[in-house]
Amino acid sequence: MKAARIVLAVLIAFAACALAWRARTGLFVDPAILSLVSAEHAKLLCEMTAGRRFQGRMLLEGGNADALVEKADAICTNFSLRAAADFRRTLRRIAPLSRGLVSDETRALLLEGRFKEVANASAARLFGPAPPLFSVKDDPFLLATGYAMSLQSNLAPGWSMNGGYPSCERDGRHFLLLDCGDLSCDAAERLRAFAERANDSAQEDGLKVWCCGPVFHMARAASRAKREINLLSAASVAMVALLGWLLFRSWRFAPQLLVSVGAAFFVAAGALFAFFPRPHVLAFVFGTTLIGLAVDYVYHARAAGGAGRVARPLAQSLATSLVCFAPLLFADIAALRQMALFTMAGLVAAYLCALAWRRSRGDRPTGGDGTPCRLRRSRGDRPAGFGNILAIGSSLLVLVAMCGICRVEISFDPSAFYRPGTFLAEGEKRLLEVSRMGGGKIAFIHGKTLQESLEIEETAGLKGLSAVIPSLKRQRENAALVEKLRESEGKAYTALTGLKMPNEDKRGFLDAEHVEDETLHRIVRSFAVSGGRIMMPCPEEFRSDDPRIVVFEPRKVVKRIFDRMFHSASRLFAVSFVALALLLLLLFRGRFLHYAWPVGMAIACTAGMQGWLGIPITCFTLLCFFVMAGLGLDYVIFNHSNPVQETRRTVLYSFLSSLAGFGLLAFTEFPVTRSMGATLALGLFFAYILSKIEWRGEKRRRQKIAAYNPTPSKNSATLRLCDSALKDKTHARRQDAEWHEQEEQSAGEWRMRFMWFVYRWLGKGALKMMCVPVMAFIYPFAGGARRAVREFYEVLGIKAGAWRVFRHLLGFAWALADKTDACTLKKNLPVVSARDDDGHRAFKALVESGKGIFVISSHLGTIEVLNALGNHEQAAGGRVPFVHAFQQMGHDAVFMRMFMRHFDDSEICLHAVEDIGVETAVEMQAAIGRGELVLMAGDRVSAGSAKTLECDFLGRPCRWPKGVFAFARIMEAPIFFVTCVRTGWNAYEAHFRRFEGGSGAKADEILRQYAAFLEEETRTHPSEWHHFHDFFAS
Amino acid sequence: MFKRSNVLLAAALAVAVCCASNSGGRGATRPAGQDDAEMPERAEGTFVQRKTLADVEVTITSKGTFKFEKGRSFEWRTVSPMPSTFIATPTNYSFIVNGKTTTRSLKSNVDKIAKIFEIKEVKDFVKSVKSVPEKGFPDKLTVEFKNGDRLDIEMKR
Repeated sequence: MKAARIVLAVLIAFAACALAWRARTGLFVDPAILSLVSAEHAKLLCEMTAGRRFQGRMLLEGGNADALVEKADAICTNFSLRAAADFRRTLRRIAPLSRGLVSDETRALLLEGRFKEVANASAARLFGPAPPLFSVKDDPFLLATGYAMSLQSNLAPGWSMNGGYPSCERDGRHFLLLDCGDLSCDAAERLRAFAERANDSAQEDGLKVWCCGPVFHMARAASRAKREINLLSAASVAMVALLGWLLFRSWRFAPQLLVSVGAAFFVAAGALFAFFPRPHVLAFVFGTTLIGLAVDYVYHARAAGGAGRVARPLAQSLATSLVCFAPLLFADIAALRQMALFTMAGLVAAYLCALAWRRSRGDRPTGGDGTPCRLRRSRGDRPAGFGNILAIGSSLLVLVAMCGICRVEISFDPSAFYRPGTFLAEGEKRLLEVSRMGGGKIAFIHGKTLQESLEIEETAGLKGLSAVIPSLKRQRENAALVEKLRESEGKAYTALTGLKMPNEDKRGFLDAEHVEDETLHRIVRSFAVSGGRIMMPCPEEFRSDDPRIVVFEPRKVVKRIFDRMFHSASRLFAVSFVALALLLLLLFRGRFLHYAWPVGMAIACTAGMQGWLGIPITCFTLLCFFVMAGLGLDYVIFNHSNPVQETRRTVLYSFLSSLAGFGLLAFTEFPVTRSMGATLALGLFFAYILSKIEWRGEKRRRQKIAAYNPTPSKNSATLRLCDSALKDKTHARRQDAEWHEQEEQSAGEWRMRFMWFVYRWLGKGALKMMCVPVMAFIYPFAGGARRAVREFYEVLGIKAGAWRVFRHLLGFAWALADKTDACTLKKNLPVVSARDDDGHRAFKALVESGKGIFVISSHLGTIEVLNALGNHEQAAGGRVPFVHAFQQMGHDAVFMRMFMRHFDDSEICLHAVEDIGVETAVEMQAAIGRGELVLMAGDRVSAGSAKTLECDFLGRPCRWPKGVFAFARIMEAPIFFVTCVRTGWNAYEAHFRRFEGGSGAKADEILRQYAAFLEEETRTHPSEWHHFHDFFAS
Repeated sequence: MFKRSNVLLAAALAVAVCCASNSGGRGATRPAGQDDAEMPERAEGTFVQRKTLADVEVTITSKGTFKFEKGRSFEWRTVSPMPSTFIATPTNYSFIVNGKTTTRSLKSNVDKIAKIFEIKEVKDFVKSVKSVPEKGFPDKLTVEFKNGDRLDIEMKR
């Protein structure tokens, strides 16, 4: 523990230093999915998304173009968007630089030498009603005017400017585009909400507003993610807290859990930032698996009463989890390496925290009413029937699940990662339809300068930035062509129009790298990326051999990203599995398959179920298999290392906590987290179920090993006797059969389990009420018991009708309920008082003085509730000695098996009468020497015992077990006779009588006094007689 | 080649003519001095257009014919010195020069001449529009542009 604390302190200090060091330059987390890809692809995609035209736009749709412009103006004003372009101002700015600006059509005609045609067209424009856009002094042929008019169609075919906004008309509907590239996420979300509301409400002229572009999707995703994270985190924390409380029935686990999780995350974050200056957000998201594993460590440590008691399985769990994630450290994708480092560092911290925590006292898993659940049961003692059903059911489930593997689909489709909401999807679809830009291909032109890129674009025939601002080279060519036009047609044109040709064209050229007009600058920015390169949409059929032109489809690139991640993760998963198998082989040697197969099968079943449910396996769901292996091995290790009910309960609650934490992800709106949540939920479920199944060989091996138990008890031997009794019992229903030969009445395994279920969840009162109809059912079939009761009453001289007999039998059933409660869960202990007489006072004095006592009980009343008297005494400050009780185990084996399964052996140790030997006497003498009680029933002859004593009882000669009284004699301890009779619905009274005789008294004398005491008690409380055989047969 | 501005202004002019002749209906012709209801169903005639280019102090004169059908079409045919034809319908307009046709959709519904110049494509370039008479079919139209250019049109039915 000390070493663990030191190491943990060192790790926390290291993490603090690392975080402080990084904090100097800021602690940044990379949220971009593109960072998961190779440098080349990341660069291209980042540059593409940084381009203005791909950021965000709004598409307005309506029947009236003017109304759209008004609406657009209002939106720009209300949301502070960029105002409509001022075309006149742009023309004024480029007028002095329009020397080389010629439309493509005019250039083509000039290149062909069709100067006449160009001149005529210019004249027709001049003679028309429209004014020239540029001064005719420098541009008599109105070529720059023609260029300005062609700008609109060059930018996007079919689009024109309307009020400064790109607009078009399709199928009688007008469309208008607004640029929203400067929006923050919050502003984009507000704009989207406004647009949705506008569409939902009835608008005049059918006006619709759509949002398109990455900024809206990012904003929407961020908003939803924020909401879901808050909701799911709260739900997850509440579930973990609730489950922890249900397990421990107190909040004392909470501080340790909080510290463990906090320390784990702190150390993990420190390790991550120490090695990665800007880790990816996915590493932290994936690191939430830490919560599940930290919860497991804390639960198991507390359940065992201290981590030291489960140090070995904890260490095994840590080792296997580390081996699971270790191969990811060698992934070629940085995010996977980060995930591995984060998880592994956090796991080590959580483990050390569990070890370093001070041992908890009394904080162990509880029963349903909060009482400590110190129950012991070895796995081999589970009823054979239940084990078979579990095995068959599990096998069928596994078989069905694995059949789904044939339907498994592996997907690299980006839509598996993100799917837009209906509104945004409709907006993107609408924009595609209107803009008629199919294909989705992007061309990147890698020129050394912007001018070079423009020239490459012009040569390739692409319509991008060069369609708006030609390269300087082209502009010079155009200027030369215009000069030729003037030389060829100048005179005729002047004669026709009266416009003189300029002597010298003083205009300059428009340089795309140095535009001053805001509108043109915006246009240039939408095409240009860093370093002089430009990008643009390109037609589907475009092909180029120029190495400086890179054409790619973003969708395909993203798909390749996921493909690469998937293959990398699957390779690493195979390595991880092999490493894990080797580790298990090292740890468990020949039994490693018992640990490996549940996890392997769970993974296969999960994959199969994904096939059935149509959940494709992607790179993200594949990462879930790492988590599944880690947690699944936890369940197997703990279930197999310590198969007691405490541990199984702890494993169950660990599983439920993890299920709550991961399973909630299945309810998010994001496809990727939804599929991960479903995968993890299925995987954890199968891992847990399969971890509970044991092979027969393992079961036999465990039966040879004593269960983990700080307080020795005879329960294992007791249960073995029950087993053999069940196997060897002859089904005798004869009344005259010996008591131990009689079969239990209506004590079927499932009936017992049902009764236990009623008791456990509804209480003793409900159980007793249930006894009434059960007894009514049993009564007609309990002929032997009825006859025995009648004979008893006959001996007493009391007439016993059916009703008295029925009440007698019912009283016995209630006594069994009281006995069960007193010795197991203690949900409703009866009020036990002691008759205030010499016997009780003597008994109490001896107990208080720390002396051991030999107690001879009987089957009159319910001696088992006597410990309730002890609880009352303890509550009053008295001493409660430990009790060694002897019982014949083989008789009522079915009841005893159920009884022993839940028996609380903290105050009583049951010994089988069948096991009494020399060593038993020595052991009991030692117990008496310690001040403990030894209790035996003196009114039943052991099965198969021929040693009996005879003594009259109720006027009849009866046989009594010699061994009990002989045993009492050799104990050399005070001997008391005790009965505990029912005095009310939930009340008993204990009667004590001391044997009057010295230590050298004979067995006969002890018996005689005992029989007298018993007779006296029997006559007083005949309904408490619990012998249902012919007691008086000689 | 004779793309938007030319075509649009011609359309604006056509609509102005129509609305000057018909204060309520689309493209109807009306007698001068009367409201839109008095616009004739059909009208055709000749025009003389004088365009004054302010920066070079040159006036360019062109002549042609126009043909009007109320609510259906308006044709503005420049005959000299350089032939070209502009045709407008309630949903689109076309400009033909050198055998080359450019068509564009343009939907407008104006009642008065002034509203013609509220069409977004031409509004920014137009300073003022005056028609004589103000109501009914105009005999004379004067359009002043912001760059100082001026357009004077005389129409005869």
